Amino acid sequence: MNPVKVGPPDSSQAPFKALIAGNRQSRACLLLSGIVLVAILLLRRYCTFRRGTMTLYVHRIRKVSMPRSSSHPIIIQTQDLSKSFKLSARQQRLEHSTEHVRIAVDKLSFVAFQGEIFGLLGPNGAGKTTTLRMLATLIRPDEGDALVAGRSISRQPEAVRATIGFLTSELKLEDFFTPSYLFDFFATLHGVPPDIAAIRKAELFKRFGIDEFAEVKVANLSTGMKQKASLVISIVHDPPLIIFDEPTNGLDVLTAKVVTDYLAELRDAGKTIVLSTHIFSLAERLCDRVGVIIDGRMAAQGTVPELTKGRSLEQVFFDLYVSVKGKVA
Amino acid sequence: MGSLLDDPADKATNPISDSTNRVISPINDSADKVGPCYEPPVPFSGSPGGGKSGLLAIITKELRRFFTDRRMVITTLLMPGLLIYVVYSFIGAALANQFTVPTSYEPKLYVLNLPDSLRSLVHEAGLDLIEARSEQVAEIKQDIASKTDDLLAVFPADFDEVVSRELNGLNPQDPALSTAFELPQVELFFNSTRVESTAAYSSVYSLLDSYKEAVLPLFTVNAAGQSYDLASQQDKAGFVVTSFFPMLLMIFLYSGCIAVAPESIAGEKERGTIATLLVTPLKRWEMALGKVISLGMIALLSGLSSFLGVMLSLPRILAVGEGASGEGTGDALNGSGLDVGLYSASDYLMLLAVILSTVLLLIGLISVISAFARTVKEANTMVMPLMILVMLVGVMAMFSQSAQEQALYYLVPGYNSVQSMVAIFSFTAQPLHVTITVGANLLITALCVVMLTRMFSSEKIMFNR
Repeated sequence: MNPVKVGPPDSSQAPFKALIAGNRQSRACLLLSGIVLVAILLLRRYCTFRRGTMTLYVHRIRKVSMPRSSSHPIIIQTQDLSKSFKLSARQQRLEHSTEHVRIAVDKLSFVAFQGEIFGLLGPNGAGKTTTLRMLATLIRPDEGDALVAGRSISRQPEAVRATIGFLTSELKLEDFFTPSYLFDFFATLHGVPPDIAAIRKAELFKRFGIDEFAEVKVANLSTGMKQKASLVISIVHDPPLIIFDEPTNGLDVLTAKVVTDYLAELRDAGKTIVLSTHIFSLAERLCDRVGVIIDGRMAAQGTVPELTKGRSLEQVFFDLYVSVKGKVA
Repeated sequence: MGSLLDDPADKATNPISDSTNRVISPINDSADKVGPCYEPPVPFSGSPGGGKSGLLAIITKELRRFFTDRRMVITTLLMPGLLIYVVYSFIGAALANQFTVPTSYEPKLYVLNLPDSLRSLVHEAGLDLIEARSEQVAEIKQDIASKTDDLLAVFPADFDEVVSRELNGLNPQDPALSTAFELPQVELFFNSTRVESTAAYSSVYSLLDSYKEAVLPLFTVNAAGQSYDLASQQDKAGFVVTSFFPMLLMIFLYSGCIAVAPESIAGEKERGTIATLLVTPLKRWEMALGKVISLGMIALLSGLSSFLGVMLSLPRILAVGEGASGEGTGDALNGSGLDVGLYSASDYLMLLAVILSTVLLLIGLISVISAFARTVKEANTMVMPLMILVMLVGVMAMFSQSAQEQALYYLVPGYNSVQSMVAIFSFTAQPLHVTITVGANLLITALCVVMLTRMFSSEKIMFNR
């Protein structure tokens, strides 16, 4: 049983007066917290400055001559993009590898022109997804930089994010909400005015047949419907540039056709689309230009006719693969 | 790369952004389409600003996520309070049953050689003593041991004679009194593992005690029938409330936080929905702050629900103490302990400020820990040490005599909350200490938000599997 020491109730004492008239120790206490606050603010300022300077050195883009398409301006320009990942002990064991670092993307440079569909083509693990994630500013390049619609991915990631629509199967919609609510939510995040968002929602939902399911929770949608809802929500802000990782993965032929048709439609409306795929027929049918990535490097890039010269894209890829790796695994 | 990290000076000194930052409109500038890099017009500003900021959007979304999910509302808002109320009330009732003898019970009391001088007293006290014979003693003791009988009082055969003879003409002040004569000895046999037996023992004992005082009035203790407990009503209330409430409050606030924060941060990471947010122009700090604020609101409600459950069931639990001892905590509580009117408006305001800052602190800490975790399960494991700390500061308050008086101690997050609560509940709160507490907690919360912002920007933390 603990007796409680009791003083007079303090309610009569004005808090402000108590603060001013506090004893020496209390004042020292307040002063100390003030100093800590100022120190933190100063440190922040310093860190930002140092970081900015460093970024300046690391990510300077050299002026290089790049292939120019006759009629279209460059919209994406990557310069020596590199990214490597540390392999954990478990990953090393799984892959029977002794290397500690896996180079996913190795000095990758390419350009994409406004108003085209550019396809990154390559086998699994070639570095396509890593490249697209760097372009979408989800991860930072170790070296090199890219200008996406004139904005640097390493220094102006927020501006880049405002410009692009990024879609991959890794980006999930929250199961609990309905497509309709999520559309409005992401419209708000992108700063789309509500009236315009409502018009776009009606249009896009109708176009993809989501209107019937607009108020059904994402958890209860079919895989195809989820994918379509993700697509619609990723372009809620009508971005001039759409980055799309494996657009037809996991979709049946009907849904895949709806998606690819829509991508062609967007291209015809003047949008630029960068997609990655390992399906050569899709690349041949849909892409204006392709870049072939093998082991994180750009093995070849150009328009589809330039690369194929009458052969099939698949045959071209095998030849490239043999010339890079020596043999087809 | 949150806006916090974007330094305007950086852009100004950067030659690349200088040359590329101008936006070329395809309509006005169609001749100059081929540039170093085309900058298409972005239809929307990119920064959330259509009347609703990104911060507000995040808060609204989190709250909507919670309040439109009936199951979540039930499990985190209704269940804790209800369960605590039911369980505590049940425990209270059970304990009360255990320590009280039903009024209808007629104890089996035996007495050997009941002195005539005591007969009237026994009768007055309503005790029904059965006179036993000396050859029955062994048997009755056996029955008491086997819990069928309750008490056996054994008086010396010449009790009255000895008492009157010994006292006759004696000076009660004589120190030799207790040793000079052989005092008559009364033996009370009972069974302490039987509630009825114990109750009978204490009533017979007190009867004999008062008889002793009556025949040999050396002195009396508290016999004037007035109130001797000089503690004020406030003290009594503060005493009870101080020892229980800070710990209970801390634990319930913590469990409110733990119910929502790992789910919202580690859960979003686990399900891959956080990446969807990360590719929008939403600023990282808006996301971090929005999460902390909205989760704080929910955790506060959940904590209050638990607290309400305790408040409502506490009288039942503490009533047990009264039944057992008749005085002490139960009395204090029944008298005025739960008279909430004893606390002034400024007490309540200070309490609210302390609770709010504590919730934000806990949410901030748990959020940061959850952001490190890859799954909700992992997050729940990782916050265990924090729970132990919270319990520790709470328990410390239970055993401490009074609140800390050193201002410096109020800089220690967590500990300061408990100490402030102790001070407020015992009417000794100093506005300065409460201010320091709230300030320190908010500062730590702000650091947590900054850290969370950094973590949301870090691909290692967000995407490592």
